[in-house]
Amino acid sequence: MPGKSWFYPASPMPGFRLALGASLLWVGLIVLLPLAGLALRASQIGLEGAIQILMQPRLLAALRLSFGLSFAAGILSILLGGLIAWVLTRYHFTGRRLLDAAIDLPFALPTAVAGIALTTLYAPTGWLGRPLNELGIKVAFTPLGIFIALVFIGLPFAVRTLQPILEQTEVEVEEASASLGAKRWQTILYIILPPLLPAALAGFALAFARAIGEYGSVIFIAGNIPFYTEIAPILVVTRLEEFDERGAIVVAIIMLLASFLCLLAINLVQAWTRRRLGHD
Amino acid sequence: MDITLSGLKKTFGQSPAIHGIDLKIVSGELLGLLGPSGSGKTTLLRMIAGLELPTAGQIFFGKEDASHKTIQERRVGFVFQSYALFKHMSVAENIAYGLKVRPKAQRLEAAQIYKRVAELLDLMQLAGYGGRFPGQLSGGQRQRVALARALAVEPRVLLLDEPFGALDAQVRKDLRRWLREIHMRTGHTTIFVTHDQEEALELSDRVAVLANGRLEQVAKPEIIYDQPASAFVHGFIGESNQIYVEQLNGRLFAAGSDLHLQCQDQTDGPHILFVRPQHVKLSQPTETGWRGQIKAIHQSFLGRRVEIALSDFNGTLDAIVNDSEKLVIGETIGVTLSNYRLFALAR
Repeated sequence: MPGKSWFYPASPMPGFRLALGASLLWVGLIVLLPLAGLALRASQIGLEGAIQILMQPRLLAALRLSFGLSFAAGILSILLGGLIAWVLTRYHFTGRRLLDAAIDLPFALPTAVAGIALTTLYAPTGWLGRPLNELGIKVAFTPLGIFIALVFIGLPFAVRTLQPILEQTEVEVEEASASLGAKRWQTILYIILPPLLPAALAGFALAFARAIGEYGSVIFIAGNIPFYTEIAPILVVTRLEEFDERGAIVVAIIMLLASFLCLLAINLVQAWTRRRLGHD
Repeated sequence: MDITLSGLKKTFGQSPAIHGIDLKIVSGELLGLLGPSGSGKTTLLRMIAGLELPTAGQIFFGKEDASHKTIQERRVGFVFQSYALFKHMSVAENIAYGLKVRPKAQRLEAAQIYKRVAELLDLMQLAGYGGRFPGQLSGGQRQRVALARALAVEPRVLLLDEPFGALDAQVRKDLRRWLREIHMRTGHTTIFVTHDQEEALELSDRVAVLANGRLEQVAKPEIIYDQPASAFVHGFIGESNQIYVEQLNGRLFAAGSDLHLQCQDQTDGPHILFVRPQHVKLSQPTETGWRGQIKAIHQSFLGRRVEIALSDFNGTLDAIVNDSEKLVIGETIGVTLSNYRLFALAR
């Protein structure tokens, strides 16, 4: 029975020390240690060296492509995800549970499998690639292909962050809006959408963060042509294969910073929402 | 605004919820719709609002047939049991919402909207709360915001669905008195739904008692209590003892013994007799009167209740008696009824 300590208040629940110890060890070994190693190696490069590496046109092109496409994919994911979440929460139709389960598939599927499937589908000889090709739209081995892969990966994040919020909304609130004379579009614009905004931002940030780091599903469909379809994570691998460790580290650090900023943004948005909407 | 319901029916799928209701609500009246859960009172209210469309029948707002008007066109103020406040809007924004969504041509200027919101906040004793969010308010305050929001659009009729259902007893009592005051000040035709008879009887000008989708009685509260129109109403409102009796040639019998009571109608056959506990009087046992044995005595701060087993036929009665009367369990006493009502049972 652990006694009272300056470290934590007395609690009737046993196991605090053990649980906290295990958690800290886990976080330390698995998460913080590798990141610290990365930061340490980066610091040895020095700011000047880092900037020099960063200014290489090929790296800049890869970063621009990664961030740009991830941003666009995040936006589309949240729009499509919002629609899917709406359909899943508001309507009861046969096959709803099946659709609901299918949403999680990209979570579970090995990303390389997704990549191969998408490439097969969109390649100039594929089911979708051939008709699109005849229309003059190339998907595989172009930025559009990468975009599709990133939406595929990001969509479940968007759906799963919006769904619980939509489930909470009461129909009475919409009825109240109508009883006060609001037209349907006004109810949607002023009553339904605003409470979704924080969740939409969080879902976007999650999809964006995931898309930035996505590798497996992209390498096949991208074709990895420098200055055209080469994304940042692939460049990390390429640099390492060229034994250019410094180059790889600089890209890695930039992506690490981007992830941190995303997490920070999510937390800020959530704290703001909690303050605003009270504890209800 | 007078509201007239004429032959109003509602069916959900196969099961009828409202069986054809005719009711006129007079302009400025405060009407309580009272009934057990499942009686159709909320459905009726939602039909008047335009949240449900009637299967048959008509709803008139004044002389205008509103049966197929949308809720927006009907201009009603609806207050939901769950308040249904817009959580992402401040109290002032909630109240102003109905004014802000009006088409440009009918919209008040911002300064006028601001003034109206301030007036309503005052009326609701919420001055200074305009900047708060619903999540930061107590249940009673939320209910008042919901009411202010509904009143802001100057509705033709105010509809409240179980307005105090989710509040604790003291807040309920305060809000009840206060709603009565607001109603007197603003004079809106108001219909509210409740399953709480005390609330309905205390607050309403008239009470409409609903059971199984039918109106049982519409009358002033004291009439509802003293002269219930049906066995259901008598059993539902207040406390009562019930005895099954048989009427034969103008005399009443229970288990073969003559009750020596006056009949109240001409129809022979089975009846049910209702008597409220305060109308059961104890006396010295007599030859011809009812006799009973005291089974239990419950003393509480509300008074003394006595449970009596009747000797001449099967049945028990609850009586509320004076504290001064001397009573012993097991004692045989005489029983008289100072008031009772009889309702014929369908054979």
